Amino acid sequence: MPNPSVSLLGSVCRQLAGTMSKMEQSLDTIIDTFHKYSKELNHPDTLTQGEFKKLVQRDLTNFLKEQKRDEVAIGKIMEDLDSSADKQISFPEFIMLIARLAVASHEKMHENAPPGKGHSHGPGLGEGHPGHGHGHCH
Amino acid sequence: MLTNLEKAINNIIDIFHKYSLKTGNYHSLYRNDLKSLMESECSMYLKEKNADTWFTELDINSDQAINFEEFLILVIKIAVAAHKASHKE
Repeated sequence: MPNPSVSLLGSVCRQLAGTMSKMEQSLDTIIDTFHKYSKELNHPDTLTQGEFKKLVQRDLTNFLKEQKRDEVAIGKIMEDLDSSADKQISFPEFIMLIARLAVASHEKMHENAPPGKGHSHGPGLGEGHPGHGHGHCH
Repeated sequence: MLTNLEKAINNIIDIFHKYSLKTGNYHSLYRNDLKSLMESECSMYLKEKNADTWFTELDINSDQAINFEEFLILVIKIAVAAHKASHKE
C-alpha cells in the first residue's frame, strides 16, 4: 500500500536542507496536497467526490471562488476530470486541473496587467483587483 | 491570501517567465532557454532524456519554440513521474 507520509518526510528533509528548486518545491506542494485528502477514505491514492470537494473548498479557495460553495459545480468539474469514469480522481487526472488553473491564472495576470508598453503581469487568479495583489513587471 | 497550492500554481507561471522573457518573443522558450530552465529547475529529468529530446517532444507545432501551453506538458509529465516516485521513496 502506498504510504504518502514517507514521501512527505523525505521532501520536507530536502526542503529544510534547501536543496530543492522552486519547481521541485511547487510540485511537492501539489503532490502533498493531493495525498492529504486522498488518504482519508477508500483507496489511499485517489480522491472520492467528498475528498475532492474538501480539497477544492480548502486549498483552492481563491482560484475557484464561485464554485467552492456550489455542490453542482464541483460535481461537474470532477466529472470532467474523471477520464477513466470510475468516480474517483487519480493524480494524473488531478494534475490536469492544476494545468488548467495555471492557464487561467496566467491569463488573469495579463488581464490585470497595468497598461503600457512591454510585457507585464498584474495579479493572478483570485487575487482581487490590479494594485492589490502581487503583480510584477518584467 | 492565496493557499500554498495556489501559490505553487503561480510559481509554475513565474518559472516559465523567468526563462521565456530572456530573448525574442516573451512567451517563447527557445532551445537554450529550455535547457537552462531544466538544468536549474528539474535536472533529474535530464538523466534519461536530454534537453534537445525534450524540446522536440514538447514543440507540438514544430515552430522551434515552447509556448506556455507546451511548457505545461513538461510540468504534467514531471508531476506524474514525481507522484509515482513519491510512492517508491
